[in-house]
Amino acid sequence: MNIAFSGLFTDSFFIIGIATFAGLLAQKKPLEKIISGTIKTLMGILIISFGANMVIQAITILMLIIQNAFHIFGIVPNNESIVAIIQIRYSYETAVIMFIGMFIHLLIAKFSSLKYLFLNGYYTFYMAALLGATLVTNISSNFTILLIGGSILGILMSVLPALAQPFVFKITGKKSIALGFFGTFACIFSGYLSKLLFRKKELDHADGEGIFKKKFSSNLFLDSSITVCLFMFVLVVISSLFANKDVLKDLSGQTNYMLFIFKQPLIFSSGFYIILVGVRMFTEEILYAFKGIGDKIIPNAIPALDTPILFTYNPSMVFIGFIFSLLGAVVAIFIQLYLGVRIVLPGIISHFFSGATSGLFGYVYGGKKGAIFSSFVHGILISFLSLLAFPIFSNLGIIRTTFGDSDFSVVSMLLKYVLDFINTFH
Amino acid sequence: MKITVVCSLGLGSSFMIEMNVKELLQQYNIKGIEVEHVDIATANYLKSDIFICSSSIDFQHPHQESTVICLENLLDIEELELKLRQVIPKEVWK
Repeated sequence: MNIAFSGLFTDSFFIIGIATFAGLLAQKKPLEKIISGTIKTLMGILIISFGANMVIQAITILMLIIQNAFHIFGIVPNNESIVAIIQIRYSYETAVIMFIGMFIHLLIAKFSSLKYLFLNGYYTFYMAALLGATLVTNISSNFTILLIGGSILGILMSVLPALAQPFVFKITGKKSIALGFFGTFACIFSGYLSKLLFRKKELDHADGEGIFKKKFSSNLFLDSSITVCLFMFVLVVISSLFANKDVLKDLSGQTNYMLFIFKQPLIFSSGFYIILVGVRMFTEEILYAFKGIGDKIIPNAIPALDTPILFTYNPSMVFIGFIFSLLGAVVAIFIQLYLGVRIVLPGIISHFFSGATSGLFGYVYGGKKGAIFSSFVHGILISFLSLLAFPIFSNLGIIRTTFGDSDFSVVSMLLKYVLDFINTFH
Repeated sequence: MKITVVCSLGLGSSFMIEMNVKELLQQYNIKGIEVEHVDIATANYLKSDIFICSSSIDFQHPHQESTVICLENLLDIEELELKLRQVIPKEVWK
């Protein structure tokens, strides 16, 4: 091939740029929209990698402090962080797997009885990143691998909403809504477990209302960047109290070390915020197009959406779910300390969204007790899943963070298991 | 005129509501209304005529008086239309 084209077709900017441009052109958008849409999508990728560096910096310092204070290795599970870090090296694989996955998902929805349209775009992107990183580091990058990754993604996008549907139907009373979420495994696992333990005769929607004021559950925890910052602040301050002051002074260099410590949560949440902006810019045009095509070719599809669509149905269970999931994560830390393994610090965002969902799922069959039990189990479960999946990402050079939600951990472990099995025959 | 849809990460549910708003605007052939979706922290610094959010968020702009629509059911397009009709002038709807 001509030298002018070498490396062109395996470059993420080129592939994503062309795909977005062609997609906007095909939708017959005005020229101005085509140009701005393409530029915004490409800017999104750059913004994500910029945020990744900030997040890495803050996590590294927090983990050094924790290591010094408690002599243990810690992990911070956070989807946004690890996806952004993966993007630095595997953005091409991620993009291709995402496009193939969406295409296969549309085929499944069109020609099978799984009529779900997975519209949770950023989760699609995160799963594509996971598949890209796991497949490429364990085999190599070629088109067959990306096709396999895309197929797995497409299947997950169709199957997971179907698995969660019994719960979602009980919560919403509607058949026209589904859950499109990659934390489904832990939620249905804990949901069915509480079904086994607690039998509830009648489902009463009013039960539990008013135990906690709605305002309290929402305003404090829904502004994600503030929540993340406060949570990191608590972690970093507690561990600094136990850390050697000389080490802290070494880490901080010229800066006053107390100021340096207080800055870390701010750096982390700024990075988190930047990643969110980047993800929004990157996925926006792709999602519009995806939904447009989906609506056209599968008009009877059930939209599978993000967890908050369930939250208004029972806000107090959302709060219970979050608190008990977090409590489960704290208990998990003590178990991990006892076992002498790495500790998984609670991934606050996952405990909120996934924990709340597990609370709602537990409530469906077990009432309030079911919700408490389900979210508590869920908290322990996702903590250990993150711990078990962690080694898979450590050979990416990612030492301090991993995915927070259950499906990412489960998929990466299954994939690793299968790949190791295949590799023994080579 | 500008409508801003707010959710906690500004990625999932706000996108869906935005799609529904756009669908309504198209259905009634209403032009000149800009719609976007953001997270809560960003929304605090945006100028917008109308903010839409879930009732569990109950967004309040800290710096300006603005109309806020809180949705009980995020995907209910009828509820959305009903509430939008209360705040968008009558002449605009065909």
